[in-house]
Amino acid sequence: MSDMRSRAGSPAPGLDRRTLLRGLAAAGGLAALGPILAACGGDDSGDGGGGGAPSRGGKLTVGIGTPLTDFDPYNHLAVNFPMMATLYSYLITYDDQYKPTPDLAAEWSLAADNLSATIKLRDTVFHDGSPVTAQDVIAGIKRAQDPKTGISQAATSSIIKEATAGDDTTVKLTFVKPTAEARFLDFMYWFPVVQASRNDAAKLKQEAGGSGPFTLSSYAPGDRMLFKRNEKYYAQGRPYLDELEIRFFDSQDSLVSALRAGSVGGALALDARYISQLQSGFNVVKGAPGALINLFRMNPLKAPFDNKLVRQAVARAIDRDRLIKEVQNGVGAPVYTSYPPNALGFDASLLDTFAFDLDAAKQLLDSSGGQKAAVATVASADKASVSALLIIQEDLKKIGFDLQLETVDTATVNSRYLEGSLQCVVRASSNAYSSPMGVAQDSAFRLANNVLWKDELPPAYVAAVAQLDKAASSAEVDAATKAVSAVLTDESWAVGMYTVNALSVFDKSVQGFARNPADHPVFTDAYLT
Amino acid sequence: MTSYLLRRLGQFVPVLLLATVVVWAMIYALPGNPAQVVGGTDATPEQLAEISSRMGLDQPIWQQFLTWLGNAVRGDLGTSFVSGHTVTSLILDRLPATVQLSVLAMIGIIVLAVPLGMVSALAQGTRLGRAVNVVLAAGLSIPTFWFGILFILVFSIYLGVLPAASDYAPLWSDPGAALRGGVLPALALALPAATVTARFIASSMTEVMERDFIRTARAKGAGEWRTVVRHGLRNALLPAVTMAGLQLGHLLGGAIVVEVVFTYPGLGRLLFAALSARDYALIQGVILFAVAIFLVLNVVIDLLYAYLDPRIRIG
Repeated sequence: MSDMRSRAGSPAPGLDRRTLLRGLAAAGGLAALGPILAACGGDDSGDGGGGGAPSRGGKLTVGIGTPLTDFDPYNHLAVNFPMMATLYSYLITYDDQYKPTPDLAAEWSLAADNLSATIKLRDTVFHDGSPVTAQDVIAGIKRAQDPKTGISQAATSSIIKEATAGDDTTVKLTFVKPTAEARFLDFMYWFPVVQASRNDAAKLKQEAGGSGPFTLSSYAPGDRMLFKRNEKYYAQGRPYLDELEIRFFDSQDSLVSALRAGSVGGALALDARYISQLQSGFNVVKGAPGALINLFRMNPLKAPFDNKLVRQAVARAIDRDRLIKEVQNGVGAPVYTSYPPNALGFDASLLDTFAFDLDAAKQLLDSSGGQKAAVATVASADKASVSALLIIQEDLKKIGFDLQLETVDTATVNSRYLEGSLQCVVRASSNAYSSPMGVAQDSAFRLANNVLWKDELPPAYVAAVAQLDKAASSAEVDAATKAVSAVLTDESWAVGMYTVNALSVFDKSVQGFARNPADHPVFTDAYLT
Repeated sequence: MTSYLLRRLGQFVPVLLLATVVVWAMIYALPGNPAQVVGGTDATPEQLAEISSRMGLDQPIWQQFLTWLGNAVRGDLGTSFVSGHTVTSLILDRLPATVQLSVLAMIGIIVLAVPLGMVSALAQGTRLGRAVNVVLAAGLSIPTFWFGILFILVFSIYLGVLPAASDYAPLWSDPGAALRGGVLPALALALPAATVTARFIASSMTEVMERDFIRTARAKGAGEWRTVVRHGLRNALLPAVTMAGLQLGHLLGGAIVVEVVFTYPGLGRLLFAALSARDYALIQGVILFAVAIFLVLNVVIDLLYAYLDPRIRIG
């Protein structure tokens, strides 16, 4: 409590006198103990809110509902997001419209034939003081291209044939084939620059090797991690905070209670369902449009979803507007494929052409001749997906399709999804890419090791993605994207529902927080008022 | 006494061995794969195989168990799949927080249970006795997590005097912070446990107060307070000691629900996280530690029996 902008000792926001008296009455005799204990310790520095120029200093404690697994930025798991842009710098950053701005890449250029590129690195250092060099980028690319260790970097780095150093801070890339600018930018956006000597999954389990705005000060696995300002950070005067602490909570409800009680100054990655209770008393930052898109995924190798018409019927029976209103409290945008509204591949007309229509859905279902029952498996902890499935279940019932819900724990859903043993499931996908090729990163859309199709991907989809992969000019990219979108709509094995837009919620005294298009929290400009 | 202790310690080995086999069998029966937890659902089979190999999960289960057992005998409980830290260091990191919480909760249990049990026994048939019995019944029927949520609502959100997310601070170095962080979870743990213990004390006390030696004490002119406390309570505490000992074992093994509700950094939360992530080595380590605590406490309880009742001889 002593280490954050706490409101301990004062009523929570929105607390009226009657509620307070009820609380006092409920506390009974035990309430007398509180003030005594409150006086025992803690130096809560509950500064009031206010605007003005960013002030330097202070410690901010924020909470998140899941613990970190490691400090490896190649392991792009949502649980690791809090440390991504905190400990590491990337080559470039994007705004929400995918307009690039320099990060560690001070300048870059793509050759006219789209076959090579040059990146000039910023003159800066890693947390341990050693300089950031071209060799660090080259070693990083080498790791990314190793199928065993590349993890989430493998796909975006696959465009590179060779990486060489021009000088200490110049990297020259040769591409496998003519490459669209958007794919080169996506590579740079997703590429974390890790110190070559530490760029190893085993080493990055317990220590970091970046040059980001904060350095890792301490880490208690499963409990919290403490960051300190990187005094050698390239952006002078930033970050503003002296210290940043991230505490891990076991449930979002506990985290929201802690936020409301002032035990933490902010909460990251909250479900949109909390917006109604938090938006009046706190600063709310909504998640990026492409960071998470909820898809209704059907297993095309298992009945009844081995029948394309059944899949199309389900796609037409998903009431996206109702889901956004009732599950997301109005936060989020409807999508039909896995391209979010800010992506090049987004086609708003699909939402009209294939609008929610139970009559059309019933017609498709009846003409399919397929089974009219299935089981949707969902993690009991994923309350938003449970709610979404209940709404879908209700609508499917109206067209004569019996969707049963099976609730299990998260690890079981993940495991069975990967095995391909589930019939259908609601799972989010990340598509924060400038290039429409980003769609092919997801386990349900990739060409190799596809979780749902195994080796039986529709030839039309394989051809469309191959065309997109080859496309270098804007016209070629545009045409290939339309082809991919058409196949996704026709085959309908993973149907877009809505963008999820997780919430980051802060006490009013916390200003300047941002998140990037991938939803990594960015504390570089955060400060306390 | 020494031979008794050695005999009891010798009994630990088969119990611990049995516990490890049962826990190992149970966690491997759980669906879910720790490699997938670490690699995510978009990891390719090649990447998952690499992670599995790093974790030693590509070996047959019996071989994994024997390797683990061999290391455990040498004092190495393995490495957490998720964090990469040794299981021993993770347990030792969390142990002080759990011990402190257990001590605070035990103090709460004793402070609440002894007077409540005595009043329940001595004021039978009166309004006070009936009121205490209602309190005891309520304490028994309300689950621990509910007390936790209620306390957070009242003390953290409405009154804003105590944190909703408990921090651990050592009692000896920062008593104020330790109490601020520990009092609510300790109370949430103590209340239901105290009502159980109070019932034991009440039942035992009722029986003891009708015994001949109580009548004799009164006949010899001993004051009522002295009769109740010195002669009645001391004899009535014997069964309550067993109960309190088991409760302490339960607390030291990690109070999962309360630690999760209060985000308290103890062994209970460590086990909860390990179960969620299918972190086999950590699950095994924490459970083995909890079993060992129970076994040791059982011996301590036996020794306490001898102290409280001179008729019992150990050896």
